[in-house]
Amino acid sequence: MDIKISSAQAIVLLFVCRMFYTVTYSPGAEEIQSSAIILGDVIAVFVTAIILIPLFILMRKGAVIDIIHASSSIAPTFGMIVSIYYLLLLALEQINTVTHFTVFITNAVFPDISAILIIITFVLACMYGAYQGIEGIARAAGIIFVIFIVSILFIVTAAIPNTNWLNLRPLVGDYQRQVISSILDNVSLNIEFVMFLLLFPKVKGSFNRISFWYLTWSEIALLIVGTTTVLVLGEYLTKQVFPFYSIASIIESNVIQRLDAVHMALWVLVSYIKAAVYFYLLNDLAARLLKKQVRKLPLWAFAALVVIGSYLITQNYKSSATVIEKVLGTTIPMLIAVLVIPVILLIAGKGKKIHHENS
Amino acid sequence: MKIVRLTCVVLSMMCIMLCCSSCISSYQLNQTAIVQAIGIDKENELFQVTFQIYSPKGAGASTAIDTSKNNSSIVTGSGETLAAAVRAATQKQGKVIFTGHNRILVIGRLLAQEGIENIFSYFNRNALTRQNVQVLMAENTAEEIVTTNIEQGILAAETIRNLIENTQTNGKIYECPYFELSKNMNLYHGASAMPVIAKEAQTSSDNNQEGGQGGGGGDIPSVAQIKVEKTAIFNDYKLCAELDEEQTRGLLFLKDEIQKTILVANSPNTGKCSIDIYSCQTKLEPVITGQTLSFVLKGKIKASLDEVIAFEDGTMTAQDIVTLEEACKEIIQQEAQRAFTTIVNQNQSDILYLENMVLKKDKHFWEKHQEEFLQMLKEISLQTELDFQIDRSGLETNEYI
Amino acid sequence: MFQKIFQYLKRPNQSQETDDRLEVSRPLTDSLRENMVNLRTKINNSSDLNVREITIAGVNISLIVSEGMVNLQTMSEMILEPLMDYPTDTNTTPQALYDYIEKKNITAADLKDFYTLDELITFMTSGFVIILIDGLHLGIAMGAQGFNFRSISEPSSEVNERGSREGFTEPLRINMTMVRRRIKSSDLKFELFSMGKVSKTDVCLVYLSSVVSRKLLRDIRHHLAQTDLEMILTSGYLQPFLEGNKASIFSDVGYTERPDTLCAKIQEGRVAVMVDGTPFVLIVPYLFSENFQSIDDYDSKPYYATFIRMIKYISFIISILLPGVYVAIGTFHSELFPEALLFNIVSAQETTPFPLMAEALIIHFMYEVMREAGLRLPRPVGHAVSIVGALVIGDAAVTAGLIGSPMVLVVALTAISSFVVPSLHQPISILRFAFIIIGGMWGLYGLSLASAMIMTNACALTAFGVPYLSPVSPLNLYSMRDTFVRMGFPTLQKHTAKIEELNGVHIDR
Repeated sequence: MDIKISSAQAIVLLFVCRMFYTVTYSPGAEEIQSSAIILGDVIAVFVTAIILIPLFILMRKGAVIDIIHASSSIAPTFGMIVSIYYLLLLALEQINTVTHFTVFITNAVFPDISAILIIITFVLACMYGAYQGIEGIARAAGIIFVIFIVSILFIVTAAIPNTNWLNLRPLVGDYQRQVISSILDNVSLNIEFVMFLLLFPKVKGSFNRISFWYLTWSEIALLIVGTTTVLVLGEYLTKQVFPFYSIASIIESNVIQRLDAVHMALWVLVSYIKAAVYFYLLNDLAARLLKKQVRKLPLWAFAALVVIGSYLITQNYKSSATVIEKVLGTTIPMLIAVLVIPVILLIAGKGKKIHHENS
Repeated sequence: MKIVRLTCVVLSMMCIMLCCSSCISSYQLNQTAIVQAIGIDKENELFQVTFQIYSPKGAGASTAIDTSKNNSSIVTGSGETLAAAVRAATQKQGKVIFTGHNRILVIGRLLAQEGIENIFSYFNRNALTRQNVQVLMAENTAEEIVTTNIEQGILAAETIRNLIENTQTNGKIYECPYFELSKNMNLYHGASAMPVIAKEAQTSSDNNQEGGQGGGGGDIPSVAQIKVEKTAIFNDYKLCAELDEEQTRGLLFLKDEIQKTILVANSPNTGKCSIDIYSCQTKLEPVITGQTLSFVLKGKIKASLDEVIAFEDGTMTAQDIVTLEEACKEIIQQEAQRAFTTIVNQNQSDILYLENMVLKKDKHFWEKHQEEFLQMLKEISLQTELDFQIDRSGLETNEYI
Repeated sequence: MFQKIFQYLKRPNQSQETDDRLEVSRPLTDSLRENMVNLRTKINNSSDLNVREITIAGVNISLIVSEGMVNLQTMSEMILEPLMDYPTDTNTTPQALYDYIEKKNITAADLKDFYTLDELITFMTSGFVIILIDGLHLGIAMGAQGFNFRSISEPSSEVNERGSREGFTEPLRINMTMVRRRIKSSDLKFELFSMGKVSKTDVCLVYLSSVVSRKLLRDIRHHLAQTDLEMILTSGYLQPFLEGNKASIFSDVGYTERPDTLCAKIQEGRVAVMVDGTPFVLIVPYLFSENFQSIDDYDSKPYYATFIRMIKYISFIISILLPGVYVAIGTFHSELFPEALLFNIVSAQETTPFPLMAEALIIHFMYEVMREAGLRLPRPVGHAVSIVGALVIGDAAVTAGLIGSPMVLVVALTAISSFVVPSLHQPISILRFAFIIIGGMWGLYGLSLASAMIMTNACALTAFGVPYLSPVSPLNLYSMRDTFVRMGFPTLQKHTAKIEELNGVHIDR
């Protein structure tokens, strides 16, 4: 049976995966004005949409459903190269996800714990999620989406008494560079489009419509979270590793003493969904490349790769994280995936409105 | 397939056994020393940390807390850094120091005068730090405050925290949560404010608590063992000034943090009156005329007439209400002006976020005077434009014959 | 080597198997004596075989019943007396006698012909009166059931305030009657067949032919055909064969003891599986949200029904998560407790010897022991269990300093909450222990991760193509009218949600 998820489920799944970076946005050590971050976030959605125009043209009205298949139909070698490229990109992003998650847990929740324990338990749990299939993950994402929205609104509402509109300062000085840096940062974090490209054969609905709603909702969430962070922390957010987590730890309510536990639980759920989807896609993509006899191995192999990669990086976080940031943060890998390859396919004539071209 | 399943089962069992052997360090509640108050002093280049730890004095496993006793203990430690001092305290009593429920953080006067920039790193990096812990400065040493035995409530620290948090009802104590302190110090050139806590002097009634002169059981112990009457002003991370009670209230007006307070005003016909402010919204705005910068405090305040101490043959009329309103405005204006003068003019401490206000008002003006802004603060003046209204008067009529 | 020998010795006797099969399906002969010999041989002269041989107008017939299965008065009035009225002045033929019995003078309503020994035994053990006529190679089975059975009483497992007090009983046909009385529609269909190689238990599929999905019916029949059981004594024997994912902690096959509930379910397009000998009827497919619905919801005002449903959902969450969260927070995240509560807990924990996780496991284990003991003990003794439980767990353990009083409160609250949703008590019991262990080892991080895994497990479960967590995920707004909230009947009557809609199948209205 052809397993497919609905467009609403796809939007929710993409949204939840995007929230992984949203609620744990880390400005790093870079000096950046808080208003530049917000302005960059607003502009980034339009920049993203412009970058994706070739992709939208390619995927419109069912012209192309499976980008791997479309690449292979140009030339098998090209299809192989594209598949391997996507595979490597997903694997790198997965390592980055698990590393980011581990750094958060080992800094904010369990300062004394060994990173390998967190990595192994997290990877095993996500493998289980991947094993349940994309339908299970998508439905679970639907429930987590509701929990996420309620929790975020609760945190944001509880943070209102701590807001100060003076923290939203006008941009001064050489802010253009900072805005561009924020835009690039935001665009590079939209790697969910790569995920969606590979997931699209299993989705019922229009690629462009789903992308539109995903961008809209994720942008709204980003603005809510970002604006709240800026209004509460102001320029101080650049001194926090996880600014939104800091806000949650400031808030106290009568029943729950510290909302940072809520934030932590929320982020574990969101991370789980993202990592499970990535494992699923890695397994799916690898299974298409490998011979039939070894198709059951990829999930375990990728899990081992992610565990080893994440562990090595967390042991040398400063130097390794810089490497990852330079690879992924420059947006070049993502641009190749969502811009260059679709342009090549368009040039090769794959963008014609063909109703039935699928795997 | 069977081999794979068997391998999975064996791995799972190993994982479970590994996990059951406590690979994550955890501490049972009876192994932790729950810190309620932290006092930090600095002596001879060493940090001296005093912890007030929850230590139940109740009897048996089913009884909770004996509220007739002070359920706390004191542990001290010293070291070159705060973390070292905390570790030293652990060595003295064996339980793990748990600061996740810390209520107050007291900074000694000497440390405040030297500069407090070094204390933030430890608390900011510690995941257990409670961001809303109340920060105070001790009149003398922090140890003196933390070790004070206050016979009220479960813990002494609880009493102190309640005292600070009840600033909403008196409008004379400035509340300084740790998060605000850290943020302000970081963003506004080391400027902030925090209440000053002092130990109340011992009185004769306190000394005669046991076997008093009357031959009876002695006096009931007083809970007034600590007092908060001043506010410390910091600039460049160092203590630079102290505000008295009226100036503190002026500061609260300037920062729009007054929720309730009582003003005592005079009317020619009636004498002293207590005016209870129940609604207060104030806003400090910059006024830029040419190259001159000044500030105006605008406010809309509503109050009720709580008490009238009338002269023997005094009368009170509606005109007196107006007079009282003017008198209250005058009081607020004076207090705000005094606070402004001390904080801004004399010490150039930007705890009122003046720089941000100017930036929002006129970006170009700020860019032009960015470098010398702190120096400009010496000359800045304050005006007030207050709308004060007494619209409630309780259950007693206002006219006497 | 020994394994091989053992397997060799265990193997069935193939020749005997062949003989048995031939005998079971052996057709009846026209010799009454031979049929009787075959019958006695087949049932090994079982003592519950009652045979009355009589001669009517020269023709020998045998009346065969199983001891205690028939109503003797019915047999006497409706079968023996009319037979005695047969004209005996002249000899008759077996065929004429058969015609008389079959068509004219016998007023038994349930009359069937049969041709094999297997059918004879099946009818006889089902309470039919068997008539064998010498000279005919067939038999006549007449329904005259009179075996004793438990009378219709209030269902023990599903108690309610205002609904019917009738519950299913053990005989299948009584249960069929109860459903038929409630749904007087021609679309109501009962599909009866026999399952179990030895027990030959009657199983009945019940559904409304106008709303049920053909695919669902096919799948259910296919699943039931996969069973190769020898004995089917309760509906629980068939449940695993109908479940989607046997590894899931939740079951997508429900059961009910109430005919009114069953009628409501089949009206939504579900199929019921009745099994003779058990009052619990299986319902397929069964969704997670149905565990929180009861017939009382539809007898109450919508606002109250909604309130009760919210309580059920909250109770479910409390029953599985509260002990684990308490252990996790107490062990790893003490800063989350309000201060006053923390002080009470610390005071209680000062003198207890065990860590929180061990305390929780011990006391919950004791609770499960008490619960099981209370379930199995005879009623007169059962009351003592609650007293002992309260004393042992509540008072003595705390006074002795074994556990802290907050833990007693936690387990009491957990236990009470689990009673609110009795249909989920199996997964609740297991999940509770799992969460305690996970919370004690990994804190809130572990609990979050475990919750996500269980959520994914439940989300991936499909009940005959219908997602188990429908209509929550995937979201079906229309069906949400009767999930977390219970809308009023004016709203519900506009359209009755069918199970197929949750499968994404569009229903033309």
